[in-house]
Amino acid sequence: MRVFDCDTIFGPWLKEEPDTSLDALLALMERHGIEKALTASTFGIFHNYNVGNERTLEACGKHPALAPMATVNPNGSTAPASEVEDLGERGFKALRLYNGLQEWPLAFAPFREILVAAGKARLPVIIDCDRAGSPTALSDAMPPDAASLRVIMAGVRYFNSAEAFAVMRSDKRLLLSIKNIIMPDSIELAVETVGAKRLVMASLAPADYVLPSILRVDKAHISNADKEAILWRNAEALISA
Amino acid sequence: MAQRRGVDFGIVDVHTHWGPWHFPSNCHGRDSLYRILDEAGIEKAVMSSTVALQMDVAGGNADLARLVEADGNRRLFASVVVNPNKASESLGDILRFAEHERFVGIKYHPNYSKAPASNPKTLELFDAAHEAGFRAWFIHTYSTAQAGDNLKVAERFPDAAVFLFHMGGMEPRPTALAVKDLSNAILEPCCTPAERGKIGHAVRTVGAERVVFGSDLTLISPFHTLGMVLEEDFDETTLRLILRDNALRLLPGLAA
Repeated sequence: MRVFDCDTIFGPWLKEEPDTSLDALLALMERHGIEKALTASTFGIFHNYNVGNERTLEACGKHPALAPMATVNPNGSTAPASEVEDLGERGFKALRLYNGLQEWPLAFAPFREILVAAGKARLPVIIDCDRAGSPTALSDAMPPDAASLRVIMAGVRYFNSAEAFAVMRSDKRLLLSIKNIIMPDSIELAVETVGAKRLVMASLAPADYVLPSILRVDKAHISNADKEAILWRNAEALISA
Repeated sequence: MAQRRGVDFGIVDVHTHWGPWHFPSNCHGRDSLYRILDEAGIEKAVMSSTVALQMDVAGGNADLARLVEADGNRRLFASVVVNPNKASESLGDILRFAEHERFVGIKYHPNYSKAPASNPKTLELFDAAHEAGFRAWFIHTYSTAQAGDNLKVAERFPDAAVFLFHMGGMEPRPTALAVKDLSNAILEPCCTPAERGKIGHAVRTVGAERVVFGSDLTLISPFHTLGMVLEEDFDETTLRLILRDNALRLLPGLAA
């Protein structure tokens, strides 16, 4: 079964271990059969997003298995939407926002501007929704007119998965990473509740292990077509749209 | 998919639960439990009652006792949940289950109990448990600071094994270093945060004999933590120690 990881990073991390270098990411992908990965340089998270984005493009230009994710820090610009407008033309396939690590809320005016711009640029967005209330705040921030906007909720956990399902029922543009919905039947319930087409694998490799997500999908009581959708086809369709 | 290593022996899971959770899941009943165990290759499981942990110590412990007593294949074992806020119930259950062949240890959750393990009332209960013959403690450990407090239990009872469930949560590496020198502090790595390499680090830091497998099912799929263990690509001896042999050695009641 093919695997496309929607959320990886490379570069210096918060801690010395694990190794989060580009080489570590590529080695991990090869070892676990991850054919393609959306990735972003950590320089964009912790240092300067323009520098990070350049590094991301450079790395992905050398390694076809990597697809570039841009990042923007809404605290870092007086016009964050303008930072997003040409990202698609520059070759980025998605926009990863690191609200968790950068500690900004989803009820946030610059974030709303970024979402509007991402919709116009036809860039899928990945955002952290790992707290109670995050999915609701995201739902409230979604621009009503951006029909083509797709947003992946990363980090949703068992204690806010019911909330995530609720917002996904009302807004079909929202997708869900299965990484942290880890109850024994979470994947089955997610498929039953929102459909396999709205689920993706997003591991945060090489900072985090990859096999837990892959194994859980592999062992889930869902059809092979649904497994393939979650592990590969949905991500592929997302960046090709 | 890449060729993946399997496990060709029965796994012993020291951290499992019986009872409902208030999160979206249909995995509550006995049939679900056995199905999950079978699918993950878990041969034996040590359980605690979610009801006992969250609200009703005596009722939950009793319910778990009924479950394990009905298990004719010696797959299910239990721990006595104690809570200093329910001291008399807890003491009653310590004494009630001390001679029960399926109850192999004491379970303590500092967060649910809203009291650290070193709280005097908690230690009184632990002293009673030790006097009653219990030699295994299973303690929720979600930070290095909490590990430091839980280590006081390991120091107090050097003849007991103190299992630090969750291995420090988001702080697995500092936690492993913090417990390195106390040989009866045992690390169990299950938790949502999946920091890569944490289990390998634990093995290198405290030794393979002090790391065990726990899944936190039915809250967490066993494939979550099993995936972490398998990704480490341990040699066969280390893998078997973590997934089975350490637990059988530290909890002799499982093998009897």
